[in-house]
Amino acid sequence: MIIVRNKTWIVTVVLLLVALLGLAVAGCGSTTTTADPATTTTGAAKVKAGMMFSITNPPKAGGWDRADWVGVQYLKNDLGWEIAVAEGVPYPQTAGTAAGYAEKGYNPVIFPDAGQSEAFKSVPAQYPKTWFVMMSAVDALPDAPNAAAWVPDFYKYGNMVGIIAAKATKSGKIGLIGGVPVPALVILFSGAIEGAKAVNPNVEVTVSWVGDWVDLPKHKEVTNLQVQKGVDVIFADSGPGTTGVFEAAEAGNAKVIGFAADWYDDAPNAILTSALIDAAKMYKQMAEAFSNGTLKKQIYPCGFDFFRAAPFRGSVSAEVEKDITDTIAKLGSGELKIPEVTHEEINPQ
Amino acid sequence: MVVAMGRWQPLFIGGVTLILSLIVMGLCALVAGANPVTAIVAIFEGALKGRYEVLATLAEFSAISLTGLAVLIPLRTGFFNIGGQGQVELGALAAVVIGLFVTAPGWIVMIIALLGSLVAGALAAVVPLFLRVQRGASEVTTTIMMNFTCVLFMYVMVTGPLKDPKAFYGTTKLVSTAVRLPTLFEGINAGVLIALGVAVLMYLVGRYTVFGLQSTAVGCNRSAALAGGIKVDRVMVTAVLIGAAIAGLAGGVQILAFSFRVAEGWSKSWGFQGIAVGFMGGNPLGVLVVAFIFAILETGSRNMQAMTGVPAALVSLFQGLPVLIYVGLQAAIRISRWKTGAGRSRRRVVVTR
Amino acid sequence: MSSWIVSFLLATMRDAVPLIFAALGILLAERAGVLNIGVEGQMLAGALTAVVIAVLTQNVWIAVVAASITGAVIGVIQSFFTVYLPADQIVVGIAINGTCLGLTSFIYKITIDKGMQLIAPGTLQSIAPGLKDVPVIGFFASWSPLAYIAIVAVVLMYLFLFRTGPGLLLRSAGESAHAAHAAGLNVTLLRTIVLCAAGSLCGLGGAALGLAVVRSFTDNLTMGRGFIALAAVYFARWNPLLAFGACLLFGAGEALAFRAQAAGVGLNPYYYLMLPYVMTLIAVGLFGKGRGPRDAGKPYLKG
Repeated sequence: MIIVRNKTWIVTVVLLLVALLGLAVAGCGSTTTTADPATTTTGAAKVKAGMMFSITNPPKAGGWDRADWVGVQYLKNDLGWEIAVAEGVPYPQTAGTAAGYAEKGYNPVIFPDAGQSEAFKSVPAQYPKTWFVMMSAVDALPDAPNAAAWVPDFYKYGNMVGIIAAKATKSGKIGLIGGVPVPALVILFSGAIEGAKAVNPNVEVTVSWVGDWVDLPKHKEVTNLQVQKGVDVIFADSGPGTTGVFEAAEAGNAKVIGFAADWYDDAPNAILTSALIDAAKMYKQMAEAFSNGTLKKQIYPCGFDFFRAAPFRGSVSAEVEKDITDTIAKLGSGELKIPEVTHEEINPQ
Repeated sequence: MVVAMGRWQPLFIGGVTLILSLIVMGLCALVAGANPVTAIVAIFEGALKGRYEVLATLAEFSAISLTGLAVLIPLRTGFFNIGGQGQVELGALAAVVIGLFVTAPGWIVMIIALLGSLVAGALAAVVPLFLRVQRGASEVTTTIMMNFTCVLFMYVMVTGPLKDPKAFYGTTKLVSTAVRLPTLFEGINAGVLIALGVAVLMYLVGRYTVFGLQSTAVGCNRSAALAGGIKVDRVMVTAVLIGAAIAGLAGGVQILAFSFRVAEGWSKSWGFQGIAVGFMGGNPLGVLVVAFIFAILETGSRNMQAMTGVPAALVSLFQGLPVLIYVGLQAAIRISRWKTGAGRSRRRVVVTR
Repeated sequence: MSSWIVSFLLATMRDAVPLIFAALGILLAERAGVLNIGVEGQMLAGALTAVVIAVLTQNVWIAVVAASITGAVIGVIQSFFTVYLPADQIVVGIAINGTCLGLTSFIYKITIDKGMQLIAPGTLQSIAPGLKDVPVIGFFASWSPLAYIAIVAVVLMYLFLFRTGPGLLLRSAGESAHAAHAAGLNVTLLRTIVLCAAGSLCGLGGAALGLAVVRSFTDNLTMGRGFIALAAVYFARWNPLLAFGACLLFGAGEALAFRAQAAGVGLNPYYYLMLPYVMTLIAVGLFGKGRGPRDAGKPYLKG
């Protein structure tokens, strides 16, 4: 390592610094224009949307990311939107990224992750000309008028998951594994517990939280612990770490219900079925409302018509499959009523 | 290969590094299916075009320049301070705690919080210092260990006693607006000026104070310094405490100027970038230049990822690769000049370690 | 034996194996006077290589060898920078970590974009999965074959360093590079070879992570395990046998952390994750520096 003492060099450095700062200040002049949400019309100007994921590789990450990605592809390919996607943005930095998009004139700014609710509630007020949409569960909209949310009825969805799990289990023990305990997940799991109990009052439900969406060995270990206790059907709602769940399940002869997207190709031996969420439909509705100018500050609920079970592909016997499908149909039609109970005790916070 | 560039050498190396790094990044972008030129342009646009972007770059700059100083000052006395990241986190934690719990007029709390972050940073270096002075333990290990210990301690606090009850992950509440560092002209935050000020101060200290000259003496030849009557241990300890305090200040500034709270995932890898910056900078003003370049790469590469869709992996690549290139070029030039006996320039080169 | 303890011990062993290989690599390098801070990068590269090759060839042993070679290549690159040039070992190590993190994530993304399912055969998960439920033997049969290889490697490393001539030469180069050179040793060549070997051992650790602990890859799979191995080496004061024990201890800490978090009881899981680092600091404080290589970290410039 060299320590340099030479006046000329120091002067050069200082001059360079001054020059750089000058450049910076000079570049400060331009500000980008933003589109006025109320007057955006279909086809007039190309829509530039910005969104951020907390994980990397969204098309192959967690179930929700994959389901959302189908929606993103629809926006890009079918509607011709220009979408900038930031990956790997931790929750505390989401607000900064969202604000960055708004500053550059991106409209709308899309939040695909319920964990980003903090940013969703704080940023819209600062950029009144930009629409901010949350494409996942949120408990309340921010005060600002330029925010909307497409909220899947995660409780009902959880009911469906619970029914499948409770009917498919042979040991009477089912497991729920979540990544980060976001409120949406607590609601989902509550629905799963109630759904399972409605179908089999004696079923034993174990809830485990890994603590993050990505750590593979950790996910595997948490699943191992469940499998050792006799759990034979697991519902896993996490991100890229879900692969770890599959590994442990396969080793322990347990089956996994996938979240939101069809996971069959990732683990043909371990997957029972996947509880699908038609996120693409959510994005379609959002795009229509935005382009037609009918987007309003409200929560757009996404109910049972957004959910269905993926093909079982012979993972259970034909009678069990029919039984499950019939019960789910009863849930959808309202014939089967399940009480709404939020199980706060499973929330580690 | 005789390269006689004398005083322009660091600029030359920096320039070549930047160009080579951009070429590699362009190639990676190509492999990933994006247009390399668009990707490279996106880096500069993301860092420098537009007021918002420049402010974001300056925010990174304020952190990285301070962590660079945190490595440089102890390095002059021969102490490797690798624990910068941990010192930053502790300093940030102290600033948040003071900001949330001390009741006093806003600007007073702000000053106390900044001072608190200085103290917290210095505290983080006490254990490795003690182990080095009393036990002769290499600080390379101990500072790395302290690093993780401090970061994990911060996580414990943030998921436990300090956690915002309304949040579902580990985070504290935001410090109130009264306590935050003010924005000055054109949106530039006072934090940036603090960073600049500290660097200039350290430069003056290094060159014009007894302590500064003693530090260099200790670093060059410890036994000679000892023989000359310098209290080497005391000089080193002081330098390390100052360096660690500066790292703590980096954390405090980030909190009071930009982030306003600590949480799981709130920080970037300023501490580790600071190591490279400290080594490459060579002196406090050089640190400012290198830190600015690193800040450009940081904000620019994130923008490049978001705008062109290249994988986020390239962001980490852009943190490691330029360092390798720079360090390699610098060493290659130094060795070639050494071997050929060239370098009888007016520049006095002092090689340590 | 209660099943909780069995599962805990198995998890300990499983988590410790990558650490053991990495620790041996770091230890070997430091004994020769070179800091191997780039261990995270080597492990990541080894893990990715192992998983990809295992998927392509469906043969885990070829994959393991490939991972060692990858690690060795990175070791050679590192030695180019730190031994041949030489630049500062710490900065280079950290830069290698960052570069490898970026490169492995990048290559990973490209492979899955091409549709590859990165799920490797589970051969290395345990020696004889069928024997799982047999008492006593079942416990040892549930270990990965790599675990047994790791134990053998520890013993061999100890014997090599402390009971052979070349090992003595290596250690002498670590104590004083100039004295070793004066005695006729080609220190530059030695350090290069050692970095190559250390790199391949760390790559092996990565393979253990990617094939034995899990069977797949993801961004930043190592999550700091390389630094835990570093802690183990210092905790054990550069002694291979003690390092083995330290890795087991730290593996136990990791297993405990998961169990505590899953059960929702006990201390905040982050305290368990702090264990390796705090214990190393305490050990260094109590027992001093130990007789470690004096010249570790200093670039060697032929006079």
